[in-house]
Amino acid sequence: MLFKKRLKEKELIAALKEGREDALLQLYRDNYTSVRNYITRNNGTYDDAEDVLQDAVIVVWEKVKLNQLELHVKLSTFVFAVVKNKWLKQLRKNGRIDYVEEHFKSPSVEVNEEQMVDERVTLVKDMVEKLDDVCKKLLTYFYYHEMEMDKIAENMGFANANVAKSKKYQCFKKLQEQFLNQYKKSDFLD
Amino acid sequence: MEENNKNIDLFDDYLSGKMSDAEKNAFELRLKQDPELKAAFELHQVLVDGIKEAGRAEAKKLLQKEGAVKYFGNLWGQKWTIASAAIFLMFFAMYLVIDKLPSTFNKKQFDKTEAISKDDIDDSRGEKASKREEKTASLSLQDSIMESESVDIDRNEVEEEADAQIHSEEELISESKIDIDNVEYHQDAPKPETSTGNDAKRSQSVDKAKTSPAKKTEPSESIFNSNEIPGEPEITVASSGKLSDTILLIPLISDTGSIKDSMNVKITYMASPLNSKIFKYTTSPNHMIEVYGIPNKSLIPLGKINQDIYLKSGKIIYRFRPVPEYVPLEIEKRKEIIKLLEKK
Repeated sequence: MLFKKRLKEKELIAALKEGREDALLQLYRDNYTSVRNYITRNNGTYDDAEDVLQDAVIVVWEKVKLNQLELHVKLSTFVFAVVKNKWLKQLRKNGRIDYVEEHFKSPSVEVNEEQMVDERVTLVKDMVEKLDDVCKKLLTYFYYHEMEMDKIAENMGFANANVAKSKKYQCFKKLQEQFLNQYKKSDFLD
Repeated sequence: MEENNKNIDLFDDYLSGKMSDAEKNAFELRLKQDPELKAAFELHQVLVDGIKEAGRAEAKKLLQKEGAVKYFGNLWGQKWTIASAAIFLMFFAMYLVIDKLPSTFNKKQFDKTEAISKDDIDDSRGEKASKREEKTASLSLQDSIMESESVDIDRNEVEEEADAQIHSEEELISESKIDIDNVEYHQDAPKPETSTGNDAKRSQSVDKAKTSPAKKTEPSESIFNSNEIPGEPEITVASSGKLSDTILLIPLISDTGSIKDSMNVKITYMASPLNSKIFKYTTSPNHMIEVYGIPNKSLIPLGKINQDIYLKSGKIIYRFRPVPEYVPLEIEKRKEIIKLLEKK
């Protein structure tokens, strides 16, 4: 961390698009102090602030990767808008506030987050986490980070994109198989 | 198997938006018509969403590991922090160096000035000494003439005054010699006789020893007169601290030893910058003695004989004769004077 090269805004966006973890960490660090101050000023703790910021940074990261953000404002503005939305939702959910402060909604930034998480999805998530490292990496690289196959091959040390692709099929089917077994069981149990 | 892979690619392409509009429409149409494909696609979507969630969770874990961002942890990566740290270090280093420099620097300067002043004084002394030699040479001629005369006079006087103390010429000479030896300049004070070389000094003093005895019919004055060198080096005293002013009551002692009266003399003790022991005695408008190199307030009044004031510091008796300029301190060692002073 010491003397680590700090990315400028444009470099940061480019790095985020590439799915680079250092860019993600920088986005987190850059917004840490302001978000922590905001959350603690609004009935939150340091832990709340970290949790909310982590989620917000990931949301922004994903949006940047998918080119879903119009980058006419600074990244930190997006992060802060997401943090505000998330925190207000959480406060409302916990019954800590019962009205919505309109000014919290930043008009220039509209970030839609999917809140509904299918329980099947959660099940798959847990399964992916239990997969072997190669499959886990391969699948998250492809589906989450949306990396190109040749890039994945390069990153993971496969001979070429085709090798990576066939390995991906393998892993995906393995996951599918596991899921179908598990889901039927749980379905059955329900 | 192949069928399955094809479907995976198809679904992936559709979900990632890589399809053209025509392909997309065709696929959506197929989904509507083919419930089996639809079920497969829904399963695929769930799996993909699950993988995405896993990826998200992983990212979150990474950030959780980062946790609380320490303020300086975040700052360190920034250039200005490093730059300011460098500047601070530089100033600190300069502070350390500067802290050490002045002492050596001043010392050097001091040594230099001291050396120069000493040299200068020596030089001027050398010049003056040579002038003096010329003078004493001419004087010694006169003296030798006077000597014979005065001795004759003395003899006449002695012969005429039968009850008077008999001073043979030899006695006079020996007494005078003793006197000369007795009159010492304070060790630390610059000696007026110093010339460029020791030989010169020695020869000069030898000359004096030769010339002085007969000349000194009145030893108390003449001895000091001989030391009153016309070209006494002017000791310019750098502005130094005045230690104190004291006024001493000095008894006026007659030649016989009786105290006639007393007078006030203001003594100013000065801190000696060069450790030289010098004095100045001005008589007008007031009697004032300024003295360097004597411990503060250590002078005890003994008395005033003729023009000279005698003061004691410790066991040493100093003679202060009226001089407008600073001259080295003079120590009185003549027995008869000391007797006179102690009589009272």
